[in-house]
Amino acid sequence: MQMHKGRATAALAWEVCARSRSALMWLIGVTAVSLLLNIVFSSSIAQGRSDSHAGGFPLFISMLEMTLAGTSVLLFLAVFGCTELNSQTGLMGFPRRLFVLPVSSFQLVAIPAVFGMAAVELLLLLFRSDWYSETNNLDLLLMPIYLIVYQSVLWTLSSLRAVRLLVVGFIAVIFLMLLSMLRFQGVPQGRIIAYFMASGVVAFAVSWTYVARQRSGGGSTSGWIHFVPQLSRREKVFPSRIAAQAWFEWRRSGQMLPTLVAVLLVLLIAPLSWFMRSDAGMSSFILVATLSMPVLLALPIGKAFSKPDLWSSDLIIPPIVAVRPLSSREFVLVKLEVAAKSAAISWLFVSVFLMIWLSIWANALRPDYRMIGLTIFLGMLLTWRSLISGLWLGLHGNPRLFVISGLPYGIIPFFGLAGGLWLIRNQPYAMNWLTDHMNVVLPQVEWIAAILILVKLSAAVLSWWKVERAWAYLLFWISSTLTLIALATRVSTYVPPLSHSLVLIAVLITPLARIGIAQASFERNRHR
Amino acid sequence: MVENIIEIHNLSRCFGSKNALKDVSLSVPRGTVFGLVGENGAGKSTLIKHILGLWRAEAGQVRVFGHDPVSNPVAVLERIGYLSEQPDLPDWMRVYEYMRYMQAFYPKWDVPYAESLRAQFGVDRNARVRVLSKGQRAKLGLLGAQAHRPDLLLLDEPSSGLDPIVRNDILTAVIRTVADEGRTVFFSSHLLEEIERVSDHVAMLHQGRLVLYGPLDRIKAQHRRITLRFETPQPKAPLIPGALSVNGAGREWTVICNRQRSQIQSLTMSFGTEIVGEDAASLNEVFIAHANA
Repeated sequence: MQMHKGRATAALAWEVCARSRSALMWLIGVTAVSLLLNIVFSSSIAQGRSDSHAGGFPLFISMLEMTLAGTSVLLFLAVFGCTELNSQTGLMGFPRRLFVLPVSSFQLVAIPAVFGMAAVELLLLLFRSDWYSETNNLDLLLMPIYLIVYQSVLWTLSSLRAVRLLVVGFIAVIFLMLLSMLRFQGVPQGRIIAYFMASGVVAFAVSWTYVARQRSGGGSTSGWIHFVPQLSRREKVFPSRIAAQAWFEWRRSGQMLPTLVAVLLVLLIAPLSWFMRSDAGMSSFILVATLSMPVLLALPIGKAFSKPDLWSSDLIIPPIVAVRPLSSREFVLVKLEVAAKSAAISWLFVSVFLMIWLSIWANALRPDYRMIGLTIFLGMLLTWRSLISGLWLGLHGNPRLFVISGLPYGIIPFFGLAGGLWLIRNQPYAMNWLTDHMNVVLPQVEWIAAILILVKLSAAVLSWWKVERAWAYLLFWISSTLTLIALATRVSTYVPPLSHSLVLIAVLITPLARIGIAQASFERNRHR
Repeated sequence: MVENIIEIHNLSRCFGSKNALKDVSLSVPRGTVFGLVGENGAGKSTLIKHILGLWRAEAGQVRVFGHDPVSNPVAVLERIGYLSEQPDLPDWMRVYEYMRYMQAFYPKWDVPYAESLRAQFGVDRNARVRVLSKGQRAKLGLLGAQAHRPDLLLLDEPSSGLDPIVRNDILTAVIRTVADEGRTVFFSSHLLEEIERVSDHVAMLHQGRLVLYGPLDRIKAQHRRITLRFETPQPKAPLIPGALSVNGAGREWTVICNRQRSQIQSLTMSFGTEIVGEDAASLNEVFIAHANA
């Protein structure tokens, strides 16, 4: 009997690795390269980390090493998330085929948890440089606990699909914030450990109960998960097929961004703004973060939104849409309309929150309401743009093209972070250089913008020529571009040297050619 | 003159090195139940996707209601009701939401008829689509395809994998549609008894080629099953020119033939055999004979 249990445990542990063999290989490879960099360039990495004026190779290599270490953690979470696609429900969750194995539910949950905890300890020890640091000792405990919480979220909230990634990201931020706050308030380390361990135990118990319940027939998913969709239940008859498709699209993808914005405002930004209400620096930072949040969230969501179906990994037009009597023009217009609604509601949430915060508890802030209003208008436009700018790629249905177009999302943050760090560290030098070279840089920016406008207009003529024209959109483009030009002209009175660049950039903001190409892409994908 | 709802001329389609459809030509007259038969991978779904405009014709031409379904999808699709083997239904919708959604696309959607179909199929209007059984999903898919009384009902293996009761419900619904309103049904299946039961026209695809096509009665009348008795036991199947298939053992052999019956009769006399039985071949026998010919 004991031997059988041992075999079952070994088999389940093997199963965890075998299920994500390629991710595991990547994990080993990336970790090995990262460790190798640590050994070969240890002094440069140390300099890049500690010296605030470090630039060039030390900064680059330390950033690269950090990125690789971060990638290792992400790959680790991918391997030890222990999820599998349920073909019946189409959801990634706890592997249901394990339910028929002759092992207890406790074992089913505990083995991936314990195995993952052991692996994360090993990973942390490998990356560890200062063995006796108190902070690192706490990290050694926090990461395994986070893994348990992470697994629990992936398994129990499978119906949330990709939104779970944001939930686990949010929990990670809460963990770090909680840790900082408890330390800041001088709570003894033993008590901090007890708090976090308690959360790990609760998460494990939730997972165990959930798996045991599912194994014995399951139960309905908790009601709150379906709260948002229930808000958009449809009892009335649709006035038109476009209205029906817009409702369908809104339910599938449109409500994602406003929901996330609302969740982050209520659970993260509002409490943070309350706790930091007397700190002017932090309050300003929170204001900037709040105003940039919808645009930043719209970038990755826009990538998914550009696909025919946000939740599907398949880029083919779903049959339920492909066989409906709906033209490509109508389908693309529906996407544009839903993106606009999504951006408008997200910014409505932000505006309401700002109104409440700035008038009630933003003690340390002296906000410029005109600037905030302008930011909200521009933010709304940029959010909408981020949601729809990739439609022509997503609707095309070519997976390779789609993946390649997503590479900047991985590369730009790395170079952006490195560049940003470099700029912060060398701010006086960078500012001096920019001031000295302004008369050289600006004309080049203007030329580049002018060429881009020419390319945009030429592509627009070519793309709109072949498809059914959406005159309403062309009118919208003209009016929004004129508004932006007027705004750019107004802003340029404060910075006269930038006037030409601002006007040219204003012409570039609202998409034109790519909407025509999106229609052609949809047609190509629909009629393969 | 009989109006053709679907006209396909010399349609060909390749997927890599595989010819999914080779030079297929057929037409579907208005008011018929047209059955498309073929083994798995014969090209039935590919042909249906061309009719829907989901595949672009590489060679040849497809016209539905006189329109090219690729260049004019709206004009074609608003007159078609389509149900596939695994209906693509949005799991997150409730049944009544699905009905509202579908209603918006089809001006001729008949609300009382949709409601009567729902009641007849026993689908709870408040249920989420995800909780429906396979049979109920198929019925809901059929409801969505049929409630706007389409001019063409296109069914791609609608009853595959379903139990006999649900299959019967679906077939009854198909027959009723045609009988009541004289509309056209085009449906594919590899269940030959299903095709035989409800179709009046049949086309048979084999490895992408159209091997048989015409009114079912004519096809059945043309194909005969003849039982021959030889004077001496035959060690292997005798070569009979004109026969589509020859099966049996020893002295008695069954021949499926198409039109050349008189030829077989004269041949049998020269072989020294006698015809001991002759009747109409079943569609199943015809299909197997053509597939192996």
